[in-house]
Amino acid sequence: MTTKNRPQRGQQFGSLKIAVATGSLAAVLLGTQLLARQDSAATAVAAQDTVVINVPANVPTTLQTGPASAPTTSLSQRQVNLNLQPIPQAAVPQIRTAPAVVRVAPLTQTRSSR
Amino acid sequence: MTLKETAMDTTTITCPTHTFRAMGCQIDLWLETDEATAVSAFAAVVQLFAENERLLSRFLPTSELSQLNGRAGQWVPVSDLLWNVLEEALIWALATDGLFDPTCLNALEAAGYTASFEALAAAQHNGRSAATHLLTGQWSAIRLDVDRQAVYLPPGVRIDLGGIAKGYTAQQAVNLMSRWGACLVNAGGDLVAGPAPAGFPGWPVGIARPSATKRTNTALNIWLVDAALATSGVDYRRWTMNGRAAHHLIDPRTGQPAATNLLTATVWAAQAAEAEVRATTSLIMGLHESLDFLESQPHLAAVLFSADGEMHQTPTIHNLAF
Repeated sequence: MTTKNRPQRGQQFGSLKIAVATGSLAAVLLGTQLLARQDSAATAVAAQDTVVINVPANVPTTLQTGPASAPTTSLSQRQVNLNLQPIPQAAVPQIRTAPAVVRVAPLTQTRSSR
Repeated sequence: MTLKETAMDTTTITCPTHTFRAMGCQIDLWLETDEATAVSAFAAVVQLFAENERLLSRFLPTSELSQLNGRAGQWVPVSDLLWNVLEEALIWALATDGLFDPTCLNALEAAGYTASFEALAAAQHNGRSAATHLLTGQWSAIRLDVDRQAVYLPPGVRIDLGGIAKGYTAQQAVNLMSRWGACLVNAGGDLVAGPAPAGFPGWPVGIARPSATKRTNTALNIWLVDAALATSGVDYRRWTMNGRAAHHLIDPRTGQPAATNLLTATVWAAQAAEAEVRATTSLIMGLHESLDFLESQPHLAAVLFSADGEMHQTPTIHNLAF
């Protein structure tokens, strides 16, 4: 009886498939991480910064209320800047009341005997 | 330009209060407690003043003090109250080297103060100016028998406990009411305070400017807590005696109404008796001597009004002012 040591053709394809799949997965992961880094660098907002949104000039600033009404859609000729204050990262409630100035009326007084 | 006004709220202390008359003057009480408790406490204080007046008034012939004055030259057993007040008066006579003198009753009557001030104010006095038999400065000759709680007045010596008896009673009233809560007593212009009302550093009280009428204006406001504020003055209790102006503050050194350049003296002290005595002796000493003395006593604070209407203060009064 003769024993053949040559690997079978199916086994060779299996190893190749695993290698390709592993490489693809690694490439996907690396690519995702790179993209994520790019995104965060471009979109992260510092807590102290004010976000300025520029509304394009051709965006209607009023709503049309009905077909019979006068034309209400107007186009702003200027850009509208909306200044949005940053969202506090750690909100601490601070209730501040104006310092009260209280004048106390004396109840009675000392004086020589009456 | 926009003018912004700062809103100022005026706060007053609201608590049960009671007013009545005793010892020839108006008594006002404040007690921070519930209404029912205050009613009982006020009744007890009214009774206290009535009882003390019954024993210590020189205007009541039946008072224990009048009985003692009528038995000079004899040993007379006395009540706890008369003993305690007389003892306190003699201690202060010693402490002031006789400038506070409880034995000035003869001089006081010789000056025309022979009846309650209400009666004096109704008519001018035409009494004698009996400078020849004034007996002041006899306090050191009074003898006390502690074992028998008895008093010996030398012949001719008579006692007046007026101001110190009123202060003693006001202090007793505060000690009594303090069991129930923060309290304040105004006994004819002399104030004694117990603990401070809730939410305040003390009782807000004023120091009056001198006035010849019943109406007075406040010159300075202070917080009063666990302390007393007494005012002596010659601005109001005056009368004419044989055509001459007289008042009730006798200078024991002369036996005459004090020739003072002060109109009023207000003294703050921890206890009513000291405030009363220091106010009286300040008036007798006059502006400069009394101010020098008061400024040397860090446990006292004072406001003095000189005859020209000017106000003089010890630095210590600023710790209390608001």
